[in-house]
Amino acid sequence: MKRIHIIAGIIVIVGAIVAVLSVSDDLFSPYVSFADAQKSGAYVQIIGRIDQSIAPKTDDGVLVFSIRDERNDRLVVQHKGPKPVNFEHAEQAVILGKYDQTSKTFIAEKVLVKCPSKYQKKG
Amino acid sequence: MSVANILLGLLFILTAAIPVVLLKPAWGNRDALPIAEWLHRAATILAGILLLILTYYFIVHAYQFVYVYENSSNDLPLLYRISAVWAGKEGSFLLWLFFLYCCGTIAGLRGDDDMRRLVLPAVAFIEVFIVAILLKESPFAYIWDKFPGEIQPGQVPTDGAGLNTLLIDPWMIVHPPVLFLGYASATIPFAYAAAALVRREFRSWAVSAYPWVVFSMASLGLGIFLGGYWAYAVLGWGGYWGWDPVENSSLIPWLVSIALMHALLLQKKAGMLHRTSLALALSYLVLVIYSAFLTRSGVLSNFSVHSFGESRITWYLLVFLLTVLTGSVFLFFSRMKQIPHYGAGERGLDWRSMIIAGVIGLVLMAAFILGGTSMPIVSGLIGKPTAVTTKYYVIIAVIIGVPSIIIMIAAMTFMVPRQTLKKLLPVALVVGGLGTVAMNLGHSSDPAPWIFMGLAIAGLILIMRDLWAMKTAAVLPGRVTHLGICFMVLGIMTSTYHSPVFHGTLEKEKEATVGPVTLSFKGLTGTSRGALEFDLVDGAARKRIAMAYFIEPKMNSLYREPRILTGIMGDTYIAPEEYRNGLDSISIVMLKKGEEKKLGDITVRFEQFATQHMTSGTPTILAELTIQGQRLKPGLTFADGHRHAIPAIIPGTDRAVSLMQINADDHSVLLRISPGKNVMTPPDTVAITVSYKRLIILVWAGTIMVTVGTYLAMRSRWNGKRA
Repeated sequence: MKRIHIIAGIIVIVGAIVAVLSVSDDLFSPYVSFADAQKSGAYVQIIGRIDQSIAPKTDDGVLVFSIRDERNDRLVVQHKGPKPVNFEHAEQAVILGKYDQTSKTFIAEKVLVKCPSKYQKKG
Repeated sequence: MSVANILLGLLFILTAAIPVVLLKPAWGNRDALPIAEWLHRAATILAGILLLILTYYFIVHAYQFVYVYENSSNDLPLLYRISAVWAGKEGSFLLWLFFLYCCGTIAGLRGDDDMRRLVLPAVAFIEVFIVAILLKESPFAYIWDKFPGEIQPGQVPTDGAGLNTLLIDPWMIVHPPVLFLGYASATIPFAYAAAALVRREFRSWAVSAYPWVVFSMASLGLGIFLGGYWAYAVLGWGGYWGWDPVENSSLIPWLVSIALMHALLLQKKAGMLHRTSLALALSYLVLVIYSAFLTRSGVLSNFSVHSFGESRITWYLLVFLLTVLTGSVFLFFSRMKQIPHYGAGERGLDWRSMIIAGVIGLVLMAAFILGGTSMPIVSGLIGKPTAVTTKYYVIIAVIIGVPSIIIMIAAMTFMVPRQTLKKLLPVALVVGGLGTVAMNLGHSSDPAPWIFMGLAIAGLILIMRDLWAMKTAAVLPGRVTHLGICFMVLGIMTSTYHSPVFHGTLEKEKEATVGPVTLSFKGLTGTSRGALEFDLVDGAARKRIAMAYFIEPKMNSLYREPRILTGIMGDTYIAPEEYRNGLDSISIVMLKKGEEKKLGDITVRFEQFATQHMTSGTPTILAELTIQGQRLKPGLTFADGHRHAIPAIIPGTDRAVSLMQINADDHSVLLRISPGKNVMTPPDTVAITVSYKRLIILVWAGTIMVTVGTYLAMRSRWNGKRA
């Protein structure tokens, strides 16, 4: 196999990947604020404190809960998927998805929960 | 300063002495080598002793050590107390280190003196870095050093915080050690490659490195598979691979190790790819260290469920990585001109060019996964941190995967006699085509499974013919491994694209159909370790199944397990999502201080705590509540070692409010208010997700074949000579 074939092959593969990636959406999830997420409606990543005082509910396999950011603004999140383990005791959640203007909720594709430090003094 | 920490310091000194002893005198000093070898053997034994000491501390519940405290408890069975040694960062590093010393000592048993004089300090160099990390974050740190003020020096907790329940599982016993065996053994080919570059002798290193590459590749692969089995069986999201950064960080070096193995094969058989093999051998370890950096430094803690969290050793790991990286780059490029390189040749397509193409495919795949995984870090440095989604990985897996499978199959055709191939190839392609139609029709319209499964079936045919017709043992490992890959491809396609997911909420004692199963929810049973019980209905037959579902007291978090009904044609995967007790939903409420909630027709506000008789008599804690405008104070007393609840009657009703739990840390209380007569109790419900994983058994079968094939490859000789 000549060297030129190797280089051509690599270019073809990489080219195909770049081509497909550039016409696809939902590839990147930048970390944004609630306001940015609501404005753009693009696929983003947000982080917030789960507001456990507003009881999370599961309707028809869709988990609905609320999160708050540092300014205490609230965002309602819908997650169609398995409820993350330790959700009830999680403090913060990292959520990936898109904001839906019609339902005024954030449709989450992935929810990652962060648990409070377990090294609490035995009370 | 514990004894063990002193021993760790000694380990550092012994290991650091090795390069000094060997490299300081002039090259001609032959007496230094035996000294260095004995230093390394002593260090290996010392590392083993340290590992045994840590294991001993776990067995005897030595909670003065914070690592033991954080990863075990009095009720942890002995087997898991031992496996807890590698449950956390520090212990797992110690295990990795011990394996590394063992690999170094075993590698030192072979080869000529000149080689060993260079390989040993290279391995020691890596070992020294890891020992330094262990000195900074030691598994033998005392608990009072980590929580000063909370725990006094000498005060030993009576029980541990407990091992995360997710880690109390047989798969989690074997997954880390096998993985670390792969990581540790990656150091040896690196050392040989580095030695070769320093010596400017580029042939003998490959002979010595080859069995290590195969062993490392086999072990790392098996470690990755074990992680997949565990994720599927225990985690409950129904998958075995999530493209999580921590998962990817072990996949990247594994792909490179496979490329390295094939490059060495070509070097052995055709004297080609000298530079590629050297570069890959160096890159392999660099990527392993990068994997450790991603997992343990906490840089990706906002992007991954796995990572250990924030860390003090981030800078150590970064320095480690950059040192090895720049050292390798410098060494390679300063010698590059002297490495023999043959033009890729004028011959057209043959098995050699197929292997080159395969190596390129694997390296490209690794590079793109590396790019995606590192994206949060890189993008964070220049702007807004951004992660890539699963879609990115699926796209690159398809675009690179399809040609790679074609190459893998084509490479094999070159060993088939021309006459046979003329008949065989069309048959394979036709069967592949028909097969993919038969498998995919009605299940998926996505092009990916159609293409992949057609190729995998064609590949299967060709491999089966080889296994049937060829008698040479030499091709067996490769064929078995590639056969495993074909099975994995088939199984991954069916379990991903042919596998629907269903949601349902079941009421107690009411039969309901969710997807492929019909269940009757029987309720939550058990006292300390609860389980959700169901009757699985199959016509007239009923089978009782149970899934663990309880609040784990140590972590104060919900633990639940999926139930997998395995079958040849597919697994039915039942995952409990949420259980709601009907009575509780109208009678139990949690309140933070100052918070007010409505429970049915009653409004409750928690004002504050109050205490009585704390120093003499029976200590009592009261919760001052306002219910319907009236002040009530239910309490908890602590007498003869038990808690007793003192309920308060709500005036004008037949209802009582009692205090179930208090949390002094976040000032919250858990209250139970009896519902009163004539109130309808809603039924207990449970929300579940049922998914059907079609033919997932092919994935498991494939991984077993790949493991068997790769370990079989260790028996291969290098041109008839034992390495």
